[in-house]
Amino acid sequence: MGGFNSFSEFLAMGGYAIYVWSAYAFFVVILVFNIWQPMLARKKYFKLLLRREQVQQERAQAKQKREDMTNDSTS
Amino acid sequence: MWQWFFKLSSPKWFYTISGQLMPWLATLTTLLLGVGLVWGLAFTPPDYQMGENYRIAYIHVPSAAIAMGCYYMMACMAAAFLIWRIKMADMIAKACAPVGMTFTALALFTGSVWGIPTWGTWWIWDARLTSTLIMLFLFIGVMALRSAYDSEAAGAKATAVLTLVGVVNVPIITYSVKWWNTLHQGASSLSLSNTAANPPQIWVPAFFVGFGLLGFYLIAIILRTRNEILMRERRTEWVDEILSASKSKGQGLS
Repeated sequence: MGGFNSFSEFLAMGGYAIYVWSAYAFFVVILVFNIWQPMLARKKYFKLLLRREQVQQERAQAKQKREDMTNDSTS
Repeated sequence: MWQWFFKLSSPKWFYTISGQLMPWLATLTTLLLGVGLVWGLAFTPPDYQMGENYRIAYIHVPSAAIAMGCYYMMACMAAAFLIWRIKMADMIAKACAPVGMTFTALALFTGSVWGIPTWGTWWIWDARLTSTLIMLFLFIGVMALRSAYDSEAAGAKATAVLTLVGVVNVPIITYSVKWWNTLHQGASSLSLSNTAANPPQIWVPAFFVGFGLLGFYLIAIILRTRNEILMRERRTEWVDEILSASKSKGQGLS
């Protein structure tokens, strides 16, 4: 059925090692990139939304504080 | 049928169904790719002319086929967006561009590397190589055009038009090896006979890699489309629920 006799023979690829393995290495790079990049983008996006929400909350609290202070001074 | 069509164009439906489908698709893809790659790399006999170098074809052929299929898919989505104004179609089209670009780059790179010892050159302005390079530029152009617009709606429309103009290139890639007699070889005929030049023990693992890569392609498209949905539908209640649910869990990866 063919195939290789030993692992070192497999790595040597009959003298074509540099071609075969660089092609397969690029293949792996492309696969990893296509999974990793959208996952990273998702994480970043979630973080951004979380921070935006925090900022909004802080702003609302600060506004509330100011209103309380002005209410105190007028009453 | 129309109800199904309507459902498919709902971002919420797409997000939910794709989320449920993902683990199955990921398992199937890993199995197919794992079996196909190990089989193709280690357990098939060497080619009588190309020796072990032909093993590059196990990734070169499916990546080129999927890159072209990706362009067709992007064009269908562009048409659906222009004709029926389906926003979901535009989101999928947007996801297709970077994925198709990487698959085209992979096809070109693996072909070049294979060509060095086989053809004696890594590049030649052969009809198929040139038309594939044009497809790479079209994918890049589609992404650049979209990012050049501040308005999402205007960018989507212009991108869809460019995508449809560029689709003429894909059949040229397919038939280039028939129309012009240049360097790139034609499609190999698959034979069931064990004594043929291309017997089953050579091409069966290629089908495993091919379907595995197809599954991977779908996963890559789904991941990007889901991100796009979350981004564009951020003001809806159901996305808000997803975001708050992920917050309580700490990280949102599901």
